[in-house]
Amino acid sequence: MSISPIIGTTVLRKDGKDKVTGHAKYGADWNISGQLYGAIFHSPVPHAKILKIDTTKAKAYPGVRCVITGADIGNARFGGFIADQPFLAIGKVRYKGEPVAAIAADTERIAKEALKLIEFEYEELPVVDSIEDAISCKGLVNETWKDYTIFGMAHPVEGTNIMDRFELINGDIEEGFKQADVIVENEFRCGMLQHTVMEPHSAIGDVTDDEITIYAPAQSPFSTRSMLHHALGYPLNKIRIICTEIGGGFGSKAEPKLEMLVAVLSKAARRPVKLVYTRDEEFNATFTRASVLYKIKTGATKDGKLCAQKVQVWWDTGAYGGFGPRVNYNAGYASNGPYFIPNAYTDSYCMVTNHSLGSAYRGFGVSEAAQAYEMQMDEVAKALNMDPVEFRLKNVLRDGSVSVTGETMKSVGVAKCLEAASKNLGWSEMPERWVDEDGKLHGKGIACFIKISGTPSTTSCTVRMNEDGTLLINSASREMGQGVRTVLTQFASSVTGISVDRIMVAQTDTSITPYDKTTTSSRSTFHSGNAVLEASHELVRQVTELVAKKWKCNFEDVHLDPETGMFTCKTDDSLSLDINKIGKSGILKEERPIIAVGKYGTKDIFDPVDEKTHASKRPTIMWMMGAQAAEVAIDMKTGKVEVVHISAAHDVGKAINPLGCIQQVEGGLSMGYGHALLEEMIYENGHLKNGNMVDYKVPTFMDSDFKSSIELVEVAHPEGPYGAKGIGEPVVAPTGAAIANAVSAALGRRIHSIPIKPEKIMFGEEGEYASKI
Amino acid sequence: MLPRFDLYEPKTIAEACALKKEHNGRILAGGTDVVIDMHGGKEFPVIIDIKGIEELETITEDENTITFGALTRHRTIEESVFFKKYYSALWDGCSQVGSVQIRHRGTLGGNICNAVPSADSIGPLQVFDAVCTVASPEGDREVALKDFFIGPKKTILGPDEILKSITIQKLKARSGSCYIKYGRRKAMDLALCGISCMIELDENDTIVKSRWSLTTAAPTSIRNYPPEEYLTGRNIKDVDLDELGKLAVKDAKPRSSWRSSAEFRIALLDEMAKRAYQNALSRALEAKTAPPLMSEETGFNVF
Repeated sequence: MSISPIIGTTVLRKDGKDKVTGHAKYGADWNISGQLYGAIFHSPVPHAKILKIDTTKAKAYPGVRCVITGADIGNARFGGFIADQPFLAIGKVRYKGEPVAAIAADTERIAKEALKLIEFEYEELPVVDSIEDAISCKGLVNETWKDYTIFGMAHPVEGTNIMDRFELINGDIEEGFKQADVIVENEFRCGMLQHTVMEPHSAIGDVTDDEITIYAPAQSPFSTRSMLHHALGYPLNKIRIICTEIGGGFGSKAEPKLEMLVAVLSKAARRPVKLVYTRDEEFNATFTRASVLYKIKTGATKDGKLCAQKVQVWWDTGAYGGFGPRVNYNAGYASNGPYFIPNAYTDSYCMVTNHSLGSAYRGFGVSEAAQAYEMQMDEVAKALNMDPVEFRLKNVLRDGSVSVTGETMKSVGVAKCLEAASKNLGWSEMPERWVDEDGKLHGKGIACFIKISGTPSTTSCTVRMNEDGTLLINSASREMGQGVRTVLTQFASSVTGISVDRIMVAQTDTSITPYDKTTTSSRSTFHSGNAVLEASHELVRQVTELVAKKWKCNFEDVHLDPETGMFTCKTDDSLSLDINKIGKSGILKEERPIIAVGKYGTKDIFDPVDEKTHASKRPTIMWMMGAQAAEVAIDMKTGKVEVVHISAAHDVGKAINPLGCIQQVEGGLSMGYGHALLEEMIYENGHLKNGNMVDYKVPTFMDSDFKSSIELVEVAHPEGPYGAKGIGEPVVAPTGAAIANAVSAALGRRIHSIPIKPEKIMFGEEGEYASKI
Repeated sequence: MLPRFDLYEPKTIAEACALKKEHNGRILAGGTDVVIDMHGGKEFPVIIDIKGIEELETITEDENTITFGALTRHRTIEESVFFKKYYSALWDGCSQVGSVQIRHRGTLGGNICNAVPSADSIGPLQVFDAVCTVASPEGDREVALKDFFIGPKKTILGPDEILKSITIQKLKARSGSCYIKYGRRKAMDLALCGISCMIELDENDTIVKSRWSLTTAAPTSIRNYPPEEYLTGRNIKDVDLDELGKLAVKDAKPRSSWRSSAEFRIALLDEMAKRAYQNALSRALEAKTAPPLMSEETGFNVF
């Protein structure tokens, strides 16, 4: 069957005009009648026993309606995998920035003034300030794990700072190393990052004894609803999350934060409460990408084949679980890369510390895993005296390869991506390193990756036809810049023939919109795409019935050409109708309305994983793969690394909206550049030193203005909508590793940690990455 | 959310001085530092917005000097081919402040009065022997820019004084200047360190005058005398770059912090001194004649 030309055609972004004209309403743009303004008193210290919180003066301040502390909420805690996080601190504070008290007042100014009147007495405790501190168990962030409810995925170890452990076991690691001719061991680190989304977190809560309504820029409204339900005991159907536009997510809005605070604050105040974080609060009191330590030992035979690999990982997950266990799981599955390794063992830990929460960040740990194993692969190739691309091509998974979890792989595009990325950089014409006329050292680097999408999961949508024949899609796949709103209209158009400008996607509201698990994991095009296709076919069936009725012919004789949108009748050539004009045709008038449901779930495809080994013949619905190659130039006298060129090739299965895909890659390259060279949250004894936009170096447009070559590889996914796979997170997965490998090649010595600061170039990085464990 | 403040908008310098004294008010020029401080919670109960004082925004000249009103914007300098060609260090500095948007708002006077060690325009102004004219009800007084600072974020300005203008000395023929800023990003960044220099050659390629300054290498932007002394009277063929680099960091006292180590900043300044010198030298060798009067220069963007 031919595919409608709207698939694979660049379409103007559905959200574009509203966003560039300032019409889009983000979280902080919303106000509701009678609202109060919230403000949070954050812990000024990273780890302390709470002695006293005196709110008397704050409560007496004119215009203050309510002040609450942890004691007012009881022992309610929340979390996606382990309910360890209190709404407001109870007994202890575990990171600087942790909410201790909350105020609701008539104005924002009054609320912030009243904050100054809260008296907080505490006794400081030793700070667990690093992965090493956490492992040594000299200080315990949680005295016991027993009091917390666990939802499956977290595996804490009593008496330690281990919040989760993930193991992946394949083959016999000891035997594997015996076969090896070369064994390479290394340690790698990635720094802690902030999402630095343009729109800060915000929420409005409107809560009564019976119902909770929240307005927020949430990525995962149904998961937020579920967390509120578990933590506060309201029935699910009495909790409503109304989604605002999202001004940047990248995982920072995947789990609730302010939603939880306004819920309890509004309930106590008995009025709606609005809360908007400042940039300072964003840095200190929201989420981060955890810093991580990798130890990798790899064995290969002298003919260049990987035979064994042991990967040990420690995440600095911060004070509370958050989505840490999911990071551990996803990165754990990715930890051996897109390679055929017959004997592999991964042992990975989430360590809690007195830092801000290390949680979801574009890629859920997969970028960090790729950073580590791809730096390691270069070292293995070097030990074998092989070209890095050639070595990878010799070992990457291909159709029919068996993965480290025992899956027979299909639709594997990584080799094609490696070939395209290296070719577009000019890899084979370049030496490994050279010096230019200005004395700068040049080097080339390559990296590839593999990433799962969370499985099993489900989604649903409705597509309904308005009286004028236009379509409205109700889907909880949240637009946050990645382009899902546009893509969903293309799917609907591809089946119905209705032009995309006559198809709208409604805003998300959990009381109206059908269920979708989350907008994370690069899953929306795939999952919601399939759901919209199903709904669109059903919608066409319903419309066809009406057309047949009007034409007084058999249903089977009426045919819709989705390319042209024309209904024709097999038995009467004189009959035709453009579906784009169906509103005016009168066919719909007083008929039963046209509304269709689409559903998609992966439970039946998923092969439940073994709890110990994590072996599974189908651990994910969709593997995402790609490769990037980089050329850098280094000024050794200033330590500056200039990215000359990045060549990216990503297997998107099928590019539904090609420009949208390319924009994703461009954005990812810029972000990955920041990871590799600039960004890092610097903590000293539990205090964040650079929590502002000057000292935390997000790349500017000027920095991102390097040459990029982007190729979209299309290896169709058998279950994907028109073969499509995800592209949102993968784009950033290999960038840091490609740059670090290019820098290492140029220097002639291995870089082990990111960000690669100029000082590391000039003075080395000893002591900055090597573990003390 | 900004803290509460009273706003005054004087139309004359005298009015501004009086208001400043009466209310211990904070002067707001472009606002690119003051408003950021306020958003960070800093309270300035009285803000005196001087943007309406027109005479502070002019650039004037005579035979020997150019005088910038305190409200001269960085963008004004940046967009001037005249300053780019003849007063390159100043152009180098002004065109690297913040971003285009910030340079449209930020002023020379504001950059000076904010008095942070990383100010991009102060170091370059120092190599042109800049002198500040300070206005008060008692009249104007002149203070060399190098003497204007008494510590980080502290200046010699009295309670009733405001900075009125900055005057630089015109260059002679065979003069060139350069400012090199080291930042981690290509825009929107503060100088991790920076170095400025100006040299003037005679017809035999002997350096007859040299001026140097350092940015983010001490509690304030400082004049840097050791390289000046080394270069003055020396023929360019006798300049040892390694020696120059060492002298250029002799008086530098950068701090070690989580931003970077002092050792790293010293190594950078050493290298940047060599580059700044070479850049200034090539510009000097190209400058066959003294810069013309701004008003005589045609084909340039003249203010």
